[in-house]
Amino acid sequence: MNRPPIPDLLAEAAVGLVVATILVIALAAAYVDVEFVYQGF
Amino acid sequence: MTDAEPTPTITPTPLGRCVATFARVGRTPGSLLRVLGWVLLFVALADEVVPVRTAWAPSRHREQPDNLVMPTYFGDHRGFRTVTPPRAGPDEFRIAWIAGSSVNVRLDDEKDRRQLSAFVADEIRGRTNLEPVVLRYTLEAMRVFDAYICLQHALAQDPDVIVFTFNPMFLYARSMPVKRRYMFGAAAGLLPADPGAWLDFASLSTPGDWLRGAAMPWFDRVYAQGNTSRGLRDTLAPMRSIDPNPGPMAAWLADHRAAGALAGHDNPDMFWQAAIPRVLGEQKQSWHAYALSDLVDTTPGSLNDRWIDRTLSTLAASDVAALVYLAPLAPKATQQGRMESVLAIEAAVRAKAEWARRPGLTIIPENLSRHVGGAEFLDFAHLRLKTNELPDYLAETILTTYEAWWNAPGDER
Repeated sequence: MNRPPIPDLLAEAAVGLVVATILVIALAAAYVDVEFVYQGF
Repeated sequence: MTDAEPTPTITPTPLGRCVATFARVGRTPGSLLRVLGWVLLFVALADEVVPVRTAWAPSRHREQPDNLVMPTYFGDHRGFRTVTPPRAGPDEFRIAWIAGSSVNVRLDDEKDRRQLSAFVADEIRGRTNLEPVVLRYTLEAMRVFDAYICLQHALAQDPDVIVFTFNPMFLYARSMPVKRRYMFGAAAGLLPADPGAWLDFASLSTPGDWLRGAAMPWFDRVYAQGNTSRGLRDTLAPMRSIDPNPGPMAAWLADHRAAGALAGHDNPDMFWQAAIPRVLGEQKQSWHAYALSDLVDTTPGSLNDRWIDRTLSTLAASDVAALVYLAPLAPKATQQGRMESVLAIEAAVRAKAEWARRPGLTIIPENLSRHVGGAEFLDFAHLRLKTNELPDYLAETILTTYEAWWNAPGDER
């Protein structure tokens, strides 16, 4: 099997980075629970 | 024939070459696999650089060896800590106590803010030769779904007794079956094989919750960072659909109710944090919970009702002694037209106590201020203990319940 050209491999890594960034944001940040700010007791 | 004209060649621009390169990404299985590999690598790298967060305990009330905090802190997707000790011996009396903030009691000595469970454990220790160990499932503002998930976790810890303290105001508050979406990842691992429960769970959660649930065993540093990006979170969140500065609250509430925004909506906290203070015009936040009586809806088959049914039928089917009671309510909670709500809640719980009946399962359908005094209310549900009456009453009821379970023939409990 022929090795894909270097630019193609770099493009794949770039797409991987973008998807991973979106995933990390989804996992860690797109979380919408509001903390209960409890002042009473 | 004349010489053929030379074929025109188009020299792609650098941008064109770049676009063409990206257009080839993912066209072959090999390319897709490599992209997936990069994704996993980058997520794993992100997981490595994010600092580990300690699984904090959710309560400021002090933890003791015989009074263990089980859930994790607000926003921590791990949901539960793994601190359960092994059974110490035949005299250990393990109590799983599932409750909201109403069990955070004070004594006259302001510095002593132990939980009610600690006082009750002292009472039990004084009356018997048992060694009580309390697994505290205390989640401030606990809602019925949270309680159900805690119950599922608690049942796996081999308790001798399970105690439920339900805040009546939260139990049937419309649109508020769940408080802690960050626990959905843990919840997914604890739900039983009940299609109805999964369907209701799906209606409470979002694709993001499911993603986090699926990723949870592997990327726990990333998912446990729920508190770090609040700004982004707030920007992305569906809560923006509700205007936080709506003007006259009564009209705002009416509008949102009419639009269905408060019925089955995804954001009960907006009601708590934005609507309630304006409704009552009270300065102290914890008194605003009286406005929850406006939201009481005991209609059979509602989302709250279904999770209550699941909780009680799980308890009824389990082979563990259990006490369920409604937290005491301040006199003010039963005034100013709110008594009707309290009575409706108690009637609904009384009806459930009938079908859930079994030896060793005690359900007290009245809020405990009808049975016990000796406490001063700091707000709608938080107590300063003046006497030992409440711990005394609960210790007695727990022991009676346990005795009934112990004495019941195996096929009746």
